[in-house]
Amino acid sequence: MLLKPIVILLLLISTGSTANDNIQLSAFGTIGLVVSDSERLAYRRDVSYHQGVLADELDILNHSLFGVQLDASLTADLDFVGQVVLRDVAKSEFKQYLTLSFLRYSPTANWQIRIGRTAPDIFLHSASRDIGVAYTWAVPPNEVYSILPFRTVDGVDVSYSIPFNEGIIRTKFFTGQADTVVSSIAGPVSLDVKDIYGLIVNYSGVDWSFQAQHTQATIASESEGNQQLIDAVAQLPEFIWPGAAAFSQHLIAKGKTPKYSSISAQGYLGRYLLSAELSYISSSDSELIPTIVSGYASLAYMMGAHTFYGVYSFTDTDPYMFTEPGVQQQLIPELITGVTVLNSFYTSSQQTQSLGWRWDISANISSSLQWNHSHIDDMGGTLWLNNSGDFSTDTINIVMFSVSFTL
Amino acid sequence: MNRLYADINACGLLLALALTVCCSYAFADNDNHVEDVVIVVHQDNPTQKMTRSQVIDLFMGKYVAFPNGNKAIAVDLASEQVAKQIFYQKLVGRSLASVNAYWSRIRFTGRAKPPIEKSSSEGMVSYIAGNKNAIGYIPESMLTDNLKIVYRFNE
Repeated sequence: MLLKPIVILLLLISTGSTANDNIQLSAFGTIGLVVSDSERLAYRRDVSYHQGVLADELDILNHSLFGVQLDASLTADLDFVGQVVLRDVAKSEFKQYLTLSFLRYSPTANWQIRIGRTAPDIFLHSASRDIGVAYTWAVPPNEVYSILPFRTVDGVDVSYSIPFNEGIIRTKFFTGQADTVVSSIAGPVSLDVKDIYGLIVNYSGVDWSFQAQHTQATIASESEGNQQLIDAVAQLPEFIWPGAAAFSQHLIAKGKTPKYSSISAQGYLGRYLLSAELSYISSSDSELIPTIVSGYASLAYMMGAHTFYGVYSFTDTDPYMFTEPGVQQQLIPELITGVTVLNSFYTSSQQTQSLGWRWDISANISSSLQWNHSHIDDMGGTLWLNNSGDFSTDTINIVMFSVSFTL
Repeated sequence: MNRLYADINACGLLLALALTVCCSYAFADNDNHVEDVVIVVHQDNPTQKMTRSQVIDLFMGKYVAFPNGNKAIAVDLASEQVAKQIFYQKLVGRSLASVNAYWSRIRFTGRAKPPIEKSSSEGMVSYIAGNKNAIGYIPESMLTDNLKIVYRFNE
């Protein structure tokens, strides 16, 4: 059913039929294949996705997508941008496919105001992580980016840019709300966040860039499964779980405020491209969102149309251990497991070494072949889907091959 | 059947060879005048000179303005034309694939408005001649009375 409009759009873009000075139609896409050697932990692109890849499977759904974008100038200072990205998602709703839809007002070269649906600038590549040709790797490092389920923010942002020495300083403030999906082996659940406030400061020149950013948000929804667990714990008598009612309040996600911070740098040194990012997720008012420290360092070497790269990335979180005193655990083993699973949902702890080769086949087509060797710590496999009930340490090899293009 | 495959392969090889030869001639022909590509604006634009850094900021979507702060309209060539390849190689030392990767990040995240694209240098000359806020790059041999040079690579 979607094939016909896609073919028409491709024809319009390729023939330039829509190309005039006020309207531009463009597209991007990726065909991505993933294979794994794990029989226990299934690879997935991020925590929003519900389909994992195990050994002896060839996956094409995790990273394959096709996006179409319309840029329309309404006046000299006002334009509209709309973008739809077709891909396999955990919850098939139109709002999951509409990735950009905003009006941009640029009264001067310094100021820009956008109102509507924009891409979330939480970490350096979070807004561009689905645009395969935009980065050197097959995918941005999972240790930093797979924990983020967000693809859109509905709200307002204001940017101010000014030349300074040999570069440009750009600051951006954004606010809004977002709804997304978080998936576990139990299936996808909706996650709504409101009161998002973010600030980015970027200083960049021709061949280098430094960026610092901070975002905080308030969780605006409670999943049905969480609520059932909270109610069950709250109703336990004191002789089984002393202080159960008070403890149950710690399991409430709604109203809690996760914070996301990141510093990053990248630069070209001759044929080398170096990039690194350190990110920090925390929540001072919730044990459900532990402190997660993640990062990566990447070194790429360019030889004409070919780029060879290596990446080391990590994410580190202290595992949750149930240590409530006086609880008759033998009487309520399922509840204890439920509390442990809930409090462990964001305990991501693993390290990956990656080697890869990118080939720029033409100016707008590239392929990437990447091998990931990951070590997952005890109880640290949040980024994977695990249906085995075994949460112990593991070592996994993943090979990804992708062809990305723009039109 | 094997003969048929062999024929198809041979035809494919010949076609690829022909395309390669044609492309080589195109490069050689165009190279003669893209060597002196210049950055131009409308004759009535108050800008007289720009620095390399200012031109980079403008064409890479970082700060799309003239030195006096007035908003500019960057005009680019569409597709993989030789003039475009040489312009970006001279400007930022990068291949078109690298420039496209950069612009994909800017365009498809909606961070900045992409440049207006023209299918030929003639189209670019015509557009800039009719728009005082436009800026583009052309072979110097195509300079007209309506345009003036604000940056040269060899200066």
